[in-house]
Amino acid sequence: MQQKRKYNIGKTYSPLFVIPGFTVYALFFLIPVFIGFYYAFTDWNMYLDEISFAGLANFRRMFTHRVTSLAIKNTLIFSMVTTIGKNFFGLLLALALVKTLRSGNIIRTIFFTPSILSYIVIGVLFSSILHPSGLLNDTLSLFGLSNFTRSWLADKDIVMYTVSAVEIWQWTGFHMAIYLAGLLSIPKGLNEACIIDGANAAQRFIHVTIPLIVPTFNVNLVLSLIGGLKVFEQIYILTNGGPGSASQVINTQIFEAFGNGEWGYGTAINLVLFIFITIIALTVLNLLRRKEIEL
Amino acid sequence: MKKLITLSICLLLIAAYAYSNGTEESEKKATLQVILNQTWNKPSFEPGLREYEEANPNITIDLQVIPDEQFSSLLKTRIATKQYPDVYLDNFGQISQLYKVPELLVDLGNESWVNRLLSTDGVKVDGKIYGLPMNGTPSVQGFVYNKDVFENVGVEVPTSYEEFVAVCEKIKAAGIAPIAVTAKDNWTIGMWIIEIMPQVVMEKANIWTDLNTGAVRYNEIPEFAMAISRMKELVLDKGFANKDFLSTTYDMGNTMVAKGEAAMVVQGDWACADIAKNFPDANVGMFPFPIVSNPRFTSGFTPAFTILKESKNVSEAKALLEFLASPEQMKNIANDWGYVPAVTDVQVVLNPWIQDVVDNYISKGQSPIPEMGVTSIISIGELAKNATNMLTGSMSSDEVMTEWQIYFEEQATIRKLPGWN
Repeated sequence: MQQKRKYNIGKTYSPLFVIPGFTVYALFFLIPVFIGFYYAFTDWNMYLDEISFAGLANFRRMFTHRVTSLAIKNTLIFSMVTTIGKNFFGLLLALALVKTLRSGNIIRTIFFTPSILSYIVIGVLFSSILHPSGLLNDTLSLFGLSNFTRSWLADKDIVMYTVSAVEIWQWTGFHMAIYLAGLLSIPKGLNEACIIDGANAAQRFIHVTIPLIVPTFNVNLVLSLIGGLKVFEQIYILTNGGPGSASQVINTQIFEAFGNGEWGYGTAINLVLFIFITIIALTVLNLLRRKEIEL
Repeated sequence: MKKLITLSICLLLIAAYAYSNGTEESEKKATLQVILNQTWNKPSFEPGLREYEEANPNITIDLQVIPDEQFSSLLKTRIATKQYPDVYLDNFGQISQLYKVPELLVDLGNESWVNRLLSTDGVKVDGKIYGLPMNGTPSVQGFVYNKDVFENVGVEVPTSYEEFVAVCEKIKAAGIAPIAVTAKDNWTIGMWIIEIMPQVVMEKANIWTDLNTGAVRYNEIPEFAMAISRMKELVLDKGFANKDFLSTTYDMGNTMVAKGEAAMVVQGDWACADIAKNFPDANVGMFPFPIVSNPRFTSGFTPAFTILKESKNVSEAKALLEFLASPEQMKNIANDWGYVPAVTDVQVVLNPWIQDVVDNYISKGQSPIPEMGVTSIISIGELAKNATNMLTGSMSSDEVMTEWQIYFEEQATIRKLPGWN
């Protein structure tokens, strides 16, 4: 404490020290981003020699384009479903594993492993598991549940949920780890005091655990929301947007636009996604901040 | 310490500079990036390249084989980000739809092999030659069918849509999937599109010029709507497709036809060659897609080797093409693909299915008509994707044509094509 105070008195570094870092940041991030904003309003594509200002044409096209609207809808479905799933199962796992001591670490590692696998591995693995004559359907038929077999990745009505389920499977362990950290930081004394006062497990969970893990919950929620909105690899590898365009998301649309040489249009979709994420993330963060309590 | 590090880095850089200069003076080592999609990496192609590497120790060939589904988007991305390969193998018609060929590719008109080509029509833009074609006559596209299945079920090759439906009914009744639909590979749905669309408007003169310049619209032509709705009828309403066709790939479809699990598949003649390679006993032939009466084969597919202008090794790449154009390599290519050789000094025995097509159709004056990949100025990828959407049940056949018209107008306008300002 004493040392900290010593540094604060009259010994702050000159703000000029920010300049080198800021220059690099501005040069390689800020300036390109703002130039990008400009190109979103042009007709820049690989077939034209001159770039000209196109006003809001790209945005108009985006919101009238059938597939892009579908992609926005799919992205929202994906981020909602995965956010709920990852947090629900992550919290459940964390609560189950916070107590076990000996085998705990091994089990935690097992649950955490999927999140360190690359999307390619997951994609190849689940493409064959979810194939109409793959492991999942075969297992279902084996137990006499053939009514429940589906073409998981080829049925337009369920493909988004299938991909979401794979995503939840992969990242639950990661969110479990964050929840575990939050749960372990709750002072033991509080729970012990409650036990002495005669509170049961449910009461302790609602009145002690939940309020104290709200900050952890916020981190998890925002991470999974942003992750969901930015979805690309999962879709690209598992379905490539198919069948037809049933599982197109915003980022696969951007990828396609750039691939087609429609750079202005691609940048425009990207800008919308950026604004989208910023608004959603900031709103959620602000709403939840208020619920946090300081110990 | 710092000085020491600086000094050693300087020395290292000087050494590297000297070294790079030295090699340049003696002999230039070059790595040629050759890029193609997986289905086109035929058995004798890579051994040929390795042979070339051995004969030319200065050349390393970096063969990049890309999965079919990702090939064109990956390549477009690489060109957009200026990460150019040196040699690029693709359907020349597609290249000229997607890019400005004179700006992208090296003019190969002065190469020594040009005089030996059987035909240069498939690789020309504005009278200049930009590619080394792999076939002397473009591929023929239609139904590839298992002759034994037709014989066992007791049906003849149909020549009208009504006959075709009747044939399919009989095959279906015999417990065999009449048509293998391979929608997991979207380009195979594109094969349906490029074959049926030009056929339904065969009788209309200048129709494609009018469409390309915006004088008429796709969704105003009832024949197109009919073609697309017949596609839906065959696959969905009448159920002539195999089970799980949305998860079936090109290779799986070929296997089904070869084994007699399916009777036919919409493809080009290369599929016959692929089937013959893996299933030498399979008895396959081809007939034109009977979407209308007196159907015709379509064609226009000319795979060609091209060199990118931005390549740093243009002369080395030209030397590689020279090698690929040698009679021996051309013979390998023709045999691998089952093609009429691209050069005149190579003779191969025509495959039975090509001989069939020549005897039964071409010699009787029914030569193939240009496929939609050639007739349309805009690549039909989006139309194929929406046709797949229709096959999943999420679009109607009318919507497919309306969406295509919107997309077509949009693309033609942003490219400022003639007639679209």
